[in-house]
Amino acid sequence: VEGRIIMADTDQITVNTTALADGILVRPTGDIDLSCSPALRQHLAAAQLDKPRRLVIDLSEVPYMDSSGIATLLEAMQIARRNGTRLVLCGLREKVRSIIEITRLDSVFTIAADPSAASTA
Amino acid sequence: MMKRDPDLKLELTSHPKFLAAARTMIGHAAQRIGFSPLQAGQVSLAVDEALCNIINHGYQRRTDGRIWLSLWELEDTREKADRGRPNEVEAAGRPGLMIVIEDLARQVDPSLIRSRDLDDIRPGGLGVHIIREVMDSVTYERREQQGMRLTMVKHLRPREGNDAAAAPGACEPGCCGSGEADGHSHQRAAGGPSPAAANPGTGRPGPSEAPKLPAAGPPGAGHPGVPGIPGVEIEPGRARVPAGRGVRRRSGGPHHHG
Repeated sequence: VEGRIIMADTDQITVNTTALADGILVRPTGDIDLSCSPALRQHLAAAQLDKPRRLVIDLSEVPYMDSSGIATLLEAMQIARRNGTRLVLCGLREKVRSIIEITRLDSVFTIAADPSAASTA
Repeated sequence: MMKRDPDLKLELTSHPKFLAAARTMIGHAAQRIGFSPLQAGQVSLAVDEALCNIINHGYQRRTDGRIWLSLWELEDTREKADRGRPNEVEAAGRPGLMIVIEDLARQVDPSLIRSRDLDDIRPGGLGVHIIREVMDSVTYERREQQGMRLTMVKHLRPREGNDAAAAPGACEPGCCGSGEADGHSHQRAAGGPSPAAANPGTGRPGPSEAPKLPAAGPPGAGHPGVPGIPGVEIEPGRARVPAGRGVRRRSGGPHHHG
């Protein structure tokens, strides 16, 4: 993974954005709940401004996510579909995987094990 | 009748920045009660979703609303009941926990509180589904003067602590005939005390002394974004999950959740 890194801090989360060969990797760090999902939403929207071919969202540093985070991912997916961007989630931790399964979105999102696998998913 | 005071109480304002504190507290308590880390995390998630709904829809994103959260540990009193000496507090109850969340936000018809259709893939509207999926019993009702009350019960499962068995979709051995967790999930009516009867001292759960209630607002105002619960029995002012509601296969078959 190479490219420029943009870091943005909010009170609760940090979001790193890295350029990939064919797209963008976004890596949030911290719990994603109602208090900070708007910040993630902004970063995901910004990452899609140039309509990348691939958007990888690495959730390996997200221990917890609630339905506001799920809504944020669904919004990103809607934008990606309009733009023809391939959106891939990777690095899901136990609680994040659990809420995605509870909401039955595990068959809606493309999910890879890690950024490397996401680059070819 | 739940006669005793809650084991844990928290009062917070309707500001999203306090969500992390609330779910951390509940998660730790749930683990101490005996839930596995994954199950405790799911109880925390249910509380988080309930609080988000109050913040977003009840208080309409006002951050100065009051919210009261109470938790009771439910002890296993089935043996006492079997001996003909039912415990006055929790007759024939299964172990677990009960959480009551109350607010002074605008009231809504409990029958209108439901999730969106999960096949309609779009952002939002999943909180109620998550709560009902995670907890064994979920009851919404109007408070007597103002605001809403949500009562949630979750029971410990046999072999609790084994996350493989306690994962979403797992069930108790023998509960579906085969005794194997085949990936489906269950929602049950509470086997413990009736939420309606779960009141410390007064017969009402929650902050009997905490809120200084202003005059009740107009009841029945709409609750946009938290639409109705299909398949619930509606009693005056409340909605209850009937026994056996919500049994579903995780893959294929009809969905019964709101």
